[in-house]
Amino acid sequence: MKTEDELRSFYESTLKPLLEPLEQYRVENVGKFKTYLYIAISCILIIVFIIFTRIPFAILISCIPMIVFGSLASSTFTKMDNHLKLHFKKEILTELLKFMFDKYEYIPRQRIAPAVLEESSLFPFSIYEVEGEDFMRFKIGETSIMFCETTLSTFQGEIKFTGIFIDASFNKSFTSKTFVLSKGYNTFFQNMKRHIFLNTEQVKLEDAQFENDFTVLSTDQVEARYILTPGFMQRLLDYKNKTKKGLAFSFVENRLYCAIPEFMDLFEPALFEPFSFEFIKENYEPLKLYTGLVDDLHLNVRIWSKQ
Amino acid sequence: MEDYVIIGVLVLLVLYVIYLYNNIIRKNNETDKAFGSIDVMLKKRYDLIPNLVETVKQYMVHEATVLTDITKLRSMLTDDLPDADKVDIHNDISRKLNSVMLSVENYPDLKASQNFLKLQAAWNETEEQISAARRFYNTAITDYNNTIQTFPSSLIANQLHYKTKKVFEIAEAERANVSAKNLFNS
Repeated sequence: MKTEDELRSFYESTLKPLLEPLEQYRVENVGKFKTYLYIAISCILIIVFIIFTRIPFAILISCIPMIVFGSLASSTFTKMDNHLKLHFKKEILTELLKFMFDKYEYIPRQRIAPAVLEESSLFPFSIYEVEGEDFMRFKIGETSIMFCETTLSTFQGEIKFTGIFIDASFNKSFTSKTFVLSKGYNTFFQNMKRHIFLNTEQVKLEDAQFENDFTVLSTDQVEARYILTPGFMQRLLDYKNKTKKGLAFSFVENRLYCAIPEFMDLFEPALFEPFSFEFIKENYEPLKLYTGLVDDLHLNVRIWSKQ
Repeated sequence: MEDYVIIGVLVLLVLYVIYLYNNIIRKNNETDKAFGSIDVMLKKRYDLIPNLVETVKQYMVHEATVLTDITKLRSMLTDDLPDADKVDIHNDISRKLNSVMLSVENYPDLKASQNFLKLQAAWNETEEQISAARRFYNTAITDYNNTIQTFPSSLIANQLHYKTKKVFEIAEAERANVSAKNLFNS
């Protein structure tokens, strides 16, 4: 993985020239937006004043500029948002990915396939709608990994999960289903549902800290321990501490799935902040964190039969 | 009214005793199941040994004696052997083969052999599966021992002559070898 110094020099040499026209456009349009907004707000204040003084027809007359400037502010904002999003994802983020990885695929408006979410068995509720964006797929060494911003909701429209969903190939072969869930990730009833429908049992492990942080369920006690070696348990704990999130892992069909709750909309341009190095770093860090799962969990170690 | 209360308490007491009894039986069965898992993994390794020995002996001239020992030990593993003896022989084989694996560094031709690399991967996998099965066995044994030694389950366990069981312990020699290179530490 690239260092911060390498990132800084890449920013200065490649990204900064690309960001300059975007920054110019942003400053110009933020200025326009603010002007329209202030005028619209002033009109609202005038209307309030007129209501108190009760001058006939004046309310109607003062409403017109408020509507006009309010609409202008709104359309400027939408246009700016779309323009910056498009160019940021198409040019800047793509360049950043090219700088960080040899092999990658990035589809900004792609969501994760519902069948993959189902396969992971990480969400013990009926998923009615899957929304998502910023689908990224990488090949790091021998490991293929993909992740996507994902929002899952039920039929009633209740959002049940917002965050990052990761799917990576695992370096060991297994036939069972094993779940490593942060305490509080699922309710007692959701875990019961897993016991009943997936035929899982609770797995008691030797690491006290791991037992304190995670609940482990599996359809096979021995295979669960084959996956969760003492070294691997420590690495999962370290990764959890690194993300500082109540994440969940599942090991199904020789794949590792991970759900990381995240309420921030990642990989988006900052409309009211300059396109500085700090902004680039804010996008670089999550990329590094999610793809870093491969190195952090030693997924490229291939000393077992699976190659 | 008082009679109903007494009957109710007695029924609850009987149900509780049944629960304790079933719990001991379940945990005892779990230890047998866990031992069965180790046996399955050991069998897998048993099947792997001839291929591995055949492949390495073409290259490893200096380890010929160790390889002959491994073949001899393997032939000693028969179905009528007591479990404890089987485990001892398997541990001996494991120690000897691990030392062979560590000597691979001295044989570049062997290290480059595709056949050997595949067998080495299968060996690593089996070793780790055995280790997983042992850990499961130890958890099951600890759970069982805790149950039969704590009150009130201990009263029933004593009546049924249930004894504590021993957990798997790593031999001193194996403990010393672990830090050799952490070669197979996943």
